[in-house]
Amino acid sequence: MNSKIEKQKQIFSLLNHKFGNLLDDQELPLNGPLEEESVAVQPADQDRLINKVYNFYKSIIQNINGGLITLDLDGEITFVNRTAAGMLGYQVEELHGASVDNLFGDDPDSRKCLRAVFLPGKRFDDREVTFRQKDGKTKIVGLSASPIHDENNKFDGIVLLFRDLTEIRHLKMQIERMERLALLGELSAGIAHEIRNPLAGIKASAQILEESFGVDDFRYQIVGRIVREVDKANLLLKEFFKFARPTKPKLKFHDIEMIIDGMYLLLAPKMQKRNIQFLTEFGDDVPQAYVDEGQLEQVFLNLFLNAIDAMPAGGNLKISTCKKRLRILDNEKDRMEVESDELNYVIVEISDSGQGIGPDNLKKIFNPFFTTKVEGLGLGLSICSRLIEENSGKIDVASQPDKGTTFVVALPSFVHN
Amino acid sequence: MDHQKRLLIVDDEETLTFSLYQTFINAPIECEVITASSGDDALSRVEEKPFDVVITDIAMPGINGLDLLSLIKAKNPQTRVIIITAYGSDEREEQAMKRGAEFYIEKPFDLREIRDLVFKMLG
Repeated sequence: MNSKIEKQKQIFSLLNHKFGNLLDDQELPLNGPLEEESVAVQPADQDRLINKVYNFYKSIIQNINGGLITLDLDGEITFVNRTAAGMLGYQVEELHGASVDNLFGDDPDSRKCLRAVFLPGKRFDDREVTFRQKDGKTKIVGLSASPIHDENNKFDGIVLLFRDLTEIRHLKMQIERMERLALLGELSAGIAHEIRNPLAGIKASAQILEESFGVDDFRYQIVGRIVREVDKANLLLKEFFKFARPTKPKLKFHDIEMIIDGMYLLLAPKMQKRNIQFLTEFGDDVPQAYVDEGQLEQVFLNLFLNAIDAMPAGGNLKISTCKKRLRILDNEKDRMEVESDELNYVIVEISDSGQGIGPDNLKKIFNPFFTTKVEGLGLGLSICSRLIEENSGKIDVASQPDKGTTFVVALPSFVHN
Repeated sequence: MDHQKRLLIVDDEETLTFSLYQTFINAPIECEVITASSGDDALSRVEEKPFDVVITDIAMPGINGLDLLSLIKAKNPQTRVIIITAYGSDEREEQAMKRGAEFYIEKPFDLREIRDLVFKMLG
C-alpha cells in the first residue's frame, strides 16, 4: 500500500514538473511512459498537489453520468463509482470486493460478454448487455470494456464503463410500436375496402334470397346462416378496427370511480351469479382524470369481464384507486405538450383472485389476436392498451399462477392533447 | 303532376349494386332505378336529370362519394343522399353530414333497413 502511494507521489511530481499546474485543462499522458528523471519538489507541495489531483479525479469519476467499475483478473470488483452503484441499486461499499459475475444477467449474450471481458487485450464499446440489479430486476446497459496494464505492461485488470439504456430501449420500442400502429391503421383502410365491400354484396344478395323462400323452406335456413356468418366476420373486423384505428378520444375531466361504479352496475348480476365479490378501496384524494369517458368504460368493462372469466369458481375482484406522481419520458412530454417532468396520475388497480397467467402468456397478453379462451377473438386487451395509450395513460400487468392477476392503469389527471 | 321518382345507386362493388338494383326495381313503388359504377359516371347521370334519392359509396375510382355528394347538393339541393361505406369513421361521418348527407351507413348493412329508408324518402 505504502509503495503504491510512494509511486503515485513520484508520478504526480514528475507530471507537475513536466506539465505545470495539473488543474489546467490539459490532457494528461496517463498511460504514456514516464522518464526516470529526478525532480526537486518540496514534500509539502507534493502532498497538496497529490490531494488536489486525487480529489479532482475522484470527483470526475464519481460524478460522470455513467457507471465505472474496475476489476482484477479474478473478477473481483476493485473500484466502483457512485453512478454505477446507484444505477444497480447498491451502496458503493456493498460492491467493493464483490464478484462481477453477480452483476451480469443470465441471458447468453450477457454471459458471453462477461467471458470476453477477461480475454487479454480485449476491448469493446457500447455492447448491449443486461445487468442484474440488487432487487433482482434486470437493466439493459451499453457496456464498454478495456484492459488495465501494470507498469510492466502486463494485463492487470479491467475497466468497465456502462450507461443505462433502459429509457432509450423503451423509447425505441415505443417509436417502433407507433410506426407499426400507423402502418396497421393504413392497412386497415385497405382491409375495410377489400373485405367489407364484398361482405356487403354477399349479405344483400343473401337477404334478397332469404325473402324469396318461405320460413319453412330449408333454403331459407341456409341463406339465413350466410347472413349470420357475414355479420360474424364483420364483427371481427369492427373489433380489429377498434384496435387498428381507434376514434380520437373526446377528452374531459371525469371521476374514474363513477365510471368504475357504472361498469360494476352493468356486471353486478353476472358477478353475483358467479359468486364474485366486488371490493373497492377508493383513495381519499384521487383527482379527476382527463380521459374519454366512453373509451374508459370500454377499458374497465373489458378488464372486469376478463377478471370474471379468470374466476370460474368465484373469488374477489378488488379495485383500488390512488393518486401518484409519475415521471414521463421526453417524447411523451412532447406528444402530450406538457411542461413538467412529473405529473399527477390516477392509478387504478384491478386485482382478481383467479387462476393467474403464466409468464409466457403474460408477455403476449396485449398482442392482438392472442387468446387462451375458446370463444375469444383475442382483441380485448389489445384494444384496452390501445385506448389507454390514446388517452395518454399507461397499463401494466402482473400475475401469479393460481393466485391472481393485477392490472394497473395510470390515467392522466392533467390536460393533454 | 307528380314526376316519376328517380333513384341512383353508385358503387364500384358490382354484386352490391346489382342486389340493390334488384331490390328497388322489384319493389312496390313507381321508381326509375339507375346504377353507376364510378363517381364520374354518377355525375354525368346527375347532370342529365336530377334524382330524388342517391345511394353512394365513398371510395370509388374518379370522384369520391363525398365530393359527389357536394356536387349533387350544389346542383340539386332537394336530392337526398345516403352514404354507404366500408371504411366508417366518426370524422368521415361528420364530414358527410356537413356536406348534406341524410344518412351514413356502414357496410355490410341490413338490406331491409336501407330499403325502408329509401321508401320513406320517395314517399
